[in-house]
Amino acid sequence: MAVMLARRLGSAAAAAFLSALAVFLLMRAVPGDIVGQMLGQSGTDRSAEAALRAFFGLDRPMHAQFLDWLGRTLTGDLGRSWYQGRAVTAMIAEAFGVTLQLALFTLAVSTLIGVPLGMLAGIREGTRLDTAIQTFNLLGLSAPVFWVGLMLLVGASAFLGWSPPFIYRDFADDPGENLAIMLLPVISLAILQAAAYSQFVRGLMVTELRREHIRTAIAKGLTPREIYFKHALRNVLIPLTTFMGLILVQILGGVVVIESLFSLPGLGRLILSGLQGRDYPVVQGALLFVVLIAIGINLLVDLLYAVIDPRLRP
Amino acid sequence: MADALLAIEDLRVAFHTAQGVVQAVDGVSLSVAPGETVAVVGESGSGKSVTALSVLRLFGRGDRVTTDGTVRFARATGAVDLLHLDETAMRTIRGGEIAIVFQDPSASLNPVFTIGEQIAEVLRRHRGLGRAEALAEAASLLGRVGIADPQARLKAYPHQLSGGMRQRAMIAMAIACDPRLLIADEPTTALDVTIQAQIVRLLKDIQQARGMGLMFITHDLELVGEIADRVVVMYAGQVVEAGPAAVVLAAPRHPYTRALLACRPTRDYAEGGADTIRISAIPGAPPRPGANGAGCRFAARCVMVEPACRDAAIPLRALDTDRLSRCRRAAEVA
Ligand SMILES: Nc1ncnc2c1ncn2[C@@H]1O[C@H](COP(=O)(O)OP(=O)(O)OP(=O)(O)O)[C@@H](O)[C@H]1O
Ligand code: SF4
Ligand SMILES: [Mg+2]
Repeated sequence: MAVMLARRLGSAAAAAFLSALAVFLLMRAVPGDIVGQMLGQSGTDRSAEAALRAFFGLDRPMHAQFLDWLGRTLTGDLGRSWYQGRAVTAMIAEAFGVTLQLALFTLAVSTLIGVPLGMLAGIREGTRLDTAIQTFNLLGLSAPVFWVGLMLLVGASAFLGWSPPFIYRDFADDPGENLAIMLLPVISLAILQAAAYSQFVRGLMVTELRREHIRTAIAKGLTPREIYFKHALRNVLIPLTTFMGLILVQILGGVVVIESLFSLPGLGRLILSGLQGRDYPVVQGALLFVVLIAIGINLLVDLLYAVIDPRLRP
Repeated sequence: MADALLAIEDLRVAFHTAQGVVQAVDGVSLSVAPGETVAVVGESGSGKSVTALSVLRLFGRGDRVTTDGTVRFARATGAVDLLHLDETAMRTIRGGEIAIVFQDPSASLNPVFTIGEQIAEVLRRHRGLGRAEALAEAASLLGRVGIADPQARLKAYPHQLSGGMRQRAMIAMAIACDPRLLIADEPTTALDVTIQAQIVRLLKDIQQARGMGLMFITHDLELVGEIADRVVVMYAGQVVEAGPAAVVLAAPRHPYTRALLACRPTRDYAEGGADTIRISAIPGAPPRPGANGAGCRFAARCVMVEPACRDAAIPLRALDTDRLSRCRRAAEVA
């Protein structure tokens, strides 16, 4: 267990380093930088340009810039936004609150809808209900999140005369407003993930119910309820844990699109606006943060696995 | 037999598959009296497992099955036909009045529950025991099937036990509610040779101590002589011979039984070395289900075949009061 944990942590650290490098290089691969943005097309004042470059440290060799950034990142200092002058860590913390709420709500809603749907389809394999659920899965999986969000936004205002509030409010500030703001974004993201869950769980259930230990459970005189929700579900839960981690990572990806559609001040918007201004510290910091979260989720899933699956215990 | 515990009569079981209809069991009749051990033998694919599964209606999901005939079972409250009993009543019989031990204990146990939980569950279901009582009873059952330190084993997961121990646990689970009938479908095939004899002995002990009826499915004719009162020989979905085990083994009345006996494994004892076990097989293969010709199903492989054997289906005929054979030349088999 300790060895496994050490190995997992080691590979997580390696992944984190590679991601940091990738984030850094990617940022610089985007054409143009902050200096170009500031001076615009108009001025071609060489000396001003050079001075500005030196001011932002962009004149130094790449590796020096990277090592400098990495070193300070390791101490927890992500620098300051070139535009706002605020600490990047503070900006991330603020934006992450929004993204986290959106992601967790989406995870909860999609799990609560997708898992039971998948179980039901698997249990009722081959019936009309199964076909109906599979049709939903197919539609949910093929509809782009952005499009779903747009349709919901348009549909709500056209048919219900309702639009989500404009100004973002924290849950702590104003729970009602906050939930009204979150409603459509969560639904747009959750439809896709619920469909993914449902499809996955259905497949697991269908396979599981054909296993020999299920025949034993029937031969013991157990009720269908005990067979489905105890014997089968407990086995399905193991791969489902990994899948849940995957879904959460996917949600974090989808959040970027949805945040900009619904103008939510989350990480996605932070990254996008940072990208537009070539605000390197912000984009690098926020991207690295997202990657670290994803690595953390995977690590957590691995650990959870060891708890859930008795075969992984010594 | 009027006082039989289990009486299967003219059982037919067909699977409807994409490739067509597979008539896996084709008119099987057999019975088990209370406290009696009946061995069912026959080559792979002869329909032994399907017959056993029909008794408890344990067909797989996705199998499209049609059954015909009757499976009469004597409950304390009177006889019922298991093929037509409603599911609720069936559930009280499964695990409570009829239990089954399968071939592969590793696959038959749920990998994510402890042995204790899996045994306790059946006690809670049929004997209405509480959690603690059921676990205590499970420990005593584990002791009964010869598992050392049962209290500790309650908390073990299947993967932490050896194959033999897993099968013992399966047996503990099966006898937990004192069933009137125990079905064992090749319970030792998946186990180490050295363990096989122990498991068979255990089953026999328990059967005698509790007076259960035992339907024992096996490939091993040697075993039949050791444990069975009667034997039923199956071939291509039908019974071809039946009678008292000792008599059938000593003087078979069907060429198929004769051939099975001839290809029993023989052990060559080597001086100070490993014994070698030789298994010969009956030449040829059994017909695929549904691919039977008009006459005797064994004709293609029979050493005594005559032209007349291929003319019409051969009925199962009584030779004495307690012997049956499906051969025209039964009297000549030696
Ligand atoms: N689920 C199924 N679908 C289709 N055919 C089946 C199914 N189960 C069994 N059969 C067929 O029924 C026939 C009898 O199978 P059965 O399992 O009863 O044989 P068996 O005598 O138990 O053999 P073995 O000694 O290998 O266990 C075989 O031809 C098999 O292919
Ligand atoms: S009926 Fe004929 S072919 Fe069939 S077993 Fe008897 S002798 Fe052989
Ligand atoms: Mg079998």
